[in-house]
This record gives sequence, C-alpha cells and structure tokens, in this order.
Amino acid sequence: MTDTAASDPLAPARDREVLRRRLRGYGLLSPALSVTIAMLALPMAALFLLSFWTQSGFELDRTPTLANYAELVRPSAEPTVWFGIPFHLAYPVPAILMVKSLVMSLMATLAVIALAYPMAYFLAFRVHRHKALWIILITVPFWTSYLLRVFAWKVVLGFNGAINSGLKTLGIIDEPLEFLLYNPGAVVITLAHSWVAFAILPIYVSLEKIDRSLLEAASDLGDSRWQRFRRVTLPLSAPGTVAAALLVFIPTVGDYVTPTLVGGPGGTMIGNLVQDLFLKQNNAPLGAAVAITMMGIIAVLVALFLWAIGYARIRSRRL
Amino acid sequence: MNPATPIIELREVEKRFGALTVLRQINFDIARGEFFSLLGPSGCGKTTLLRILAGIEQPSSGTLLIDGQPMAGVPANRRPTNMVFQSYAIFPHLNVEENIGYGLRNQPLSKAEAQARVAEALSLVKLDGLGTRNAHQLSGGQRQRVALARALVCRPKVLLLDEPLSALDKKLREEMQLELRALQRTVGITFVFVTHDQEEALTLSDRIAIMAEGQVMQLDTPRGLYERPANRRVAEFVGTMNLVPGRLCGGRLDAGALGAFAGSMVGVLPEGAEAFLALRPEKLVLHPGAGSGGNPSLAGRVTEAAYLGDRIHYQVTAEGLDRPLSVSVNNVAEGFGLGTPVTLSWAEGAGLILGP
Repeated sequence: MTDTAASDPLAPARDREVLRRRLRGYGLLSPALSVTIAMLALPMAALFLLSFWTQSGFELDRTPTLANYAELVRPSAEPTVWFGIPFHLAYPVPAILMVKSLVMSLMATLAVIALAYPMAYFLAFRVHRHKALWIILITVPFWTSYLLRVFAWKVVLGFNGAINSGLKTLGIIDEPLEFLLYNPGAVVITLAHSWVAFAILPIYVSLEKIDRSLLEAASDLGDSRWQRFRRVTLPLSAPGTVAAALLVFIPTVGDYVTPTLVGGPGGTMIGNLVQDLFLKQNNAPLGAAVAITMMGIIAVLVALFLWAIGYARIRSRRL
Repeated sequence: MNPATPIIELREVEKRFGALTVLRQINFDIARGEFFSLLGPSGCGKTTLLRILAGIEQPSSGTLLIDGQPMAGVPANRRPTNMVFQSYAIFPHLNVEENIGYGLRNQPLSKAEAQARVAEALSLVKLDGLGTRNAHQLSGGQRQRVALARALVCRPKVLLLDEPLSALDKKLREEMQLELRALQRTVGITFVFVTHDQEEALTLSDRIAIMAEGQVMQLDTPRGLYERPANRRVAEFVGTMNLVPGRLCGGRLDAGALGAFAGSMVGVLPEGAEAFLALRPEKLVLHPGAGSGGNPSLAGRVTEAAYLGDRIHYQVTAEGLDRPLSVSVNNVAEGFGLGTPVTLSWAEGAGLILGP
C-alpha cells in the first residue's frame, strides 16, 4: 500500500487539494469559531482558572488550590438527610441542589418529550398541506420573551391566578390552592412549556425522514399499527428524539430564571446557588467550582446515557 | 381450498383518487402457482392494482377474493400476501437476518424454528454468511435479495413484486430474471409481478395483463400477446410492430394507393372502420430491386441498417408510408447498402388486421 502511494505521481497534487479544501472549511467556520472562542471558550477558561483561586474577604487569593473542590466533598459525621437520602457532607447544599436539579430537569425533559413527540408525529404523518405554516405556528410562543412566558405561568398558577379563580368560579374550591405555585412542580411545568417547541423540530425532522415504504413493508409483514410504531417508527426516530432530550436536559439543569420566578424557596436549583455564590455571598471561586463540577457531572451523565442507548449504532445507520 | 379455484379473483374493481379514476373494470383471475405480470407504461395503474392486492390501498368499488376469501376490510397485516417493494424498503436499523426474520415475529414460531427459516431463506437467495451485515453495507442486488427473502420467508400464498429489478443494471437484471423464474418454480408460490419492461414480462411470465389508462387492454400468454395483439396499442407496446394504416373493406385492409392487403382479423371490426395491417419485423422478407417480390409486397429503399451480429435490422422507407418499416434479417446473406431499392414481401397469413 505505501509503495503504491509513494510511486503515485498524482499524490502531491492530491495532498495540496486536500489541504486547500481543509483550509476553505476553516475559512467558512471562522466567523462562528471566533465568536465561540471569544464568548464561550475564553470565559470558560477564566471560570476554570477562577475555581482554583480562593476568596478571602474582599480579596481574591490567586494561589492555585483545590480548596473549593475539597469544600464540595468535605465529609461530615452528621449526615444531612434530604428526602431520605443521607448526605455525609459538611456543606451539603451544592450536592443536594445538584441531585434535585438533575431530577427536576429529567422530569421536565420527560414531560417535553411526551408533549413534543405526538405533535411532531402529527406534523410528520397527518399534516399534508401547509406544513410550513404549522411549523411557523409552533414558533409562536417565541414571539414573546422567555421572561414573559415564565411570568405567564405565574399568572396561570398564582394565588389569584387563572386556575384558582377558574376553579373558584366553578365552585369546586372555596379557598385558592396554594400548592400550584412556588414549588418544584411549578418549575417543571414552566420548563416543559418553555422548551417543548425546541424539541418538536428535531423529532419532526427524524420522523419526516422515515421512508413511508418502510411502514408499508412493516404492515405487509404482519405488524399492527402499534407494533409497527414500536419496531420501525420509534427506533428510526431515535436520533431526533435523543437530540431533543439532550437539547432540553442540558440547559435546564443550570437554569436559574425559572426557579427564581416560580420555584419559591422549595424550587431552587443548582443555577440559583451559583448565582447566589457569585452575586450575593461574594464567593466567586466557590461558585466557579460548583459550575465546573456541574458541567463535569452533566457531561458524564450524557455520555453514560448515549452509551446505554447504543448511540454508536444509531449514528452508524444511514437512512 | 380446491386447488382448481383461482388464488386471486378480481371482480369489477375500480379505484378513484378524488375525481381521478386510476383503475376501472378490473376483472380477471390469477391461477395458483402462476407467474403473472402486470405490464404497462408508468401511470397505467399497475402499481395501484398491486397495492390493492397487498391491502395497502382499498378499492373504491368491486370485490377482491384471495384464496376464495373476500378481502374487503382485511388490512395488509392480515392478508396472505407479501410484497417486494420497488425501493426494497430494507429496515436500516436492522441487519440482514433481522430484516428477513421481521415478519416471522408475527407468526407463532419458536425461536429455533424462526432461525431455521431465516437460514433457509438466506441460502435460497444465495446470501449465506451475510446474515449479520448491516443494511447499508449491501449492494443493490443484495438488497433486492434480502427484500425477496424477507417476503418469501413468511410463506405467503401470493408474492407481490413491484418493479423489483428496475433499479439494477442490465446484466444483473438479466441474471436476476433467470433466478427469479427458477425461484418461483422452486417455491411454487403465485407471483404477481409489476413491470413496465415488456421484455422482462415476456421472459418471466406465464401470463401477462397489459394495462393502459387504468384498464386491462389484453390478458394472454407472452406468445398470444406477441402473435395476436388485441389492438394497435398492445401491438406497439409488445415488441416492434410495423403498421400500415387503412380502412377495412370486404375483409381486407384498403391502404389506398398501396393496394389492398389480406390478413388474419383480430377481433370484430365494422366494415369501413379505421384499421391497421400489422407485420412483425421478422416476418418480412427483403428482395433486391423494386417490383421483384411476389404478392403481397411493398416497394421501398433502405434508409438505415443496424448490424447486431446474429441479425441485421433494416429501416425501409416505403413510398406512401409516413413511418419507415423495421425489418429483421438473419445475418447469412450479403447485406443491403443504404439507399438500395428493395421489395418487402410476406406470407399471406403473416399480417394481422387490427383495430386502433
């Protein structure tokens, strides 16, 4: 093999062509790449660096140390029990909030997929005319700001909100229900609503790509509608569904706006702690350490998830 | 079921999509173990008819019986038919074995039985050892074989094939035609084959239904279609046919200045109706020089010659005819040069008189 490559008189020209093409690729990437480096990679590096410094009073101590990370895992003989889970930590708040955030995001993600999948399915298989119009309609909620949408849920779930006054008018309840707002449930509902439109598109695209003759073949081979869905539609739409789940799960773990507005004291998430450490407790290095740890944990969880569902096999398919 | 009853019976089947009628008055039977082809140009309704047999489409009216059972309201997954799709429809997320075994999961078989059936099907289509290949690692011919095995492994009463060879190159197609024919004899299942390729249909089929504009124009054996086409359209669709236009006059075709020709009448045509004298290229004999042939004959000039090795195809432009006549001659004697005046003659009974 190497002999033929060496004796190939066209090899240098081909190498130049490959190089030229690669350079052109970077050229096309460079606007996005420079923005990414300036706005994402550099701040991230700064955050990473910050997490190895310490705060002493109003001064930053720039001696590199693992003290912040050690603080997060410092053991304690007296466990803090949260929902029956004992945390043997001296400073258990970050760990508890982390677990809580992951659970809340997971619930929001499941809710989003449960809402988005039928909509995407409807759009891909039942809508035959004006598809573009339907897709534009799905984006309608984005015509108002994220904050307004979260506030809207406050209005819906609030003490004198739409649900309570509605139920009161109907005579079903005498006093407003207080458990609607300011709790983890409200955060999950609001997050699910905010993110559902993002999830519809990738699922829709993967469903739309499925060759209709595959579905006909499945029926022809004896599948009922449900079997056909389980054996053909669902596995073939997995790439889009996985993408949608990650698209929702990853950003919602770190969200702090929604819990601040509708979460109340019980609905705080890890993002609120980071915000608090940076802005109120004046301990940016510890906040940075919490943020970096959170990133690491999410990365590991996503990798485990992709491995568990056999993502390599899904990706190697050519539709 | 009585083996003498047809496996498929179609009675007055019609299919309409909105205002468009794509199939009308479909009435025919398909016998058990037959290799039956639906032949026609694209858009003639042949694929729709196949999909009605499969249960993917429902007829707008009329009845369909498969093995004596009425199929109204029986969905595709409960019909004793299986289909080979034009695109093959190989499941991309499954390997070859899983694809072939797909339908067996819906049958009451043990795992071992199913595995044995899959292995048997793999060797039937000559894909032994490729069972664990992924769908995207297969060539066109291999995909076609997987599709075939996947349908046959379910042991259907009727195998439906929707232009399964159209995506293959010529050589592979010819190979697969022979294999398909041999396979059909081996398994003994009724094959219903859709194609727009008349040569393919003639090669493979026991009987062929020629379709045009949603109707069956003629249903016959390949020999019957070639030698006694029902009308001009069938004659032109199956093989090459020379047509001399004229009017029917006393049992002969009056072609005006060219004279009147006798021929065997196909069907019943009223006196004075528009008709054609139809002559196959191989039934014509070429003689050098004008006016040298016997009767019946036509005079003309050689305008094109194609050397095919064993045969030579000539195009002869006859005076008084718009289209040149095709003549196929065995390559034994000296050829005719371009522009040579020639006379075409044929045996009295070789010509057919057809309606339009």
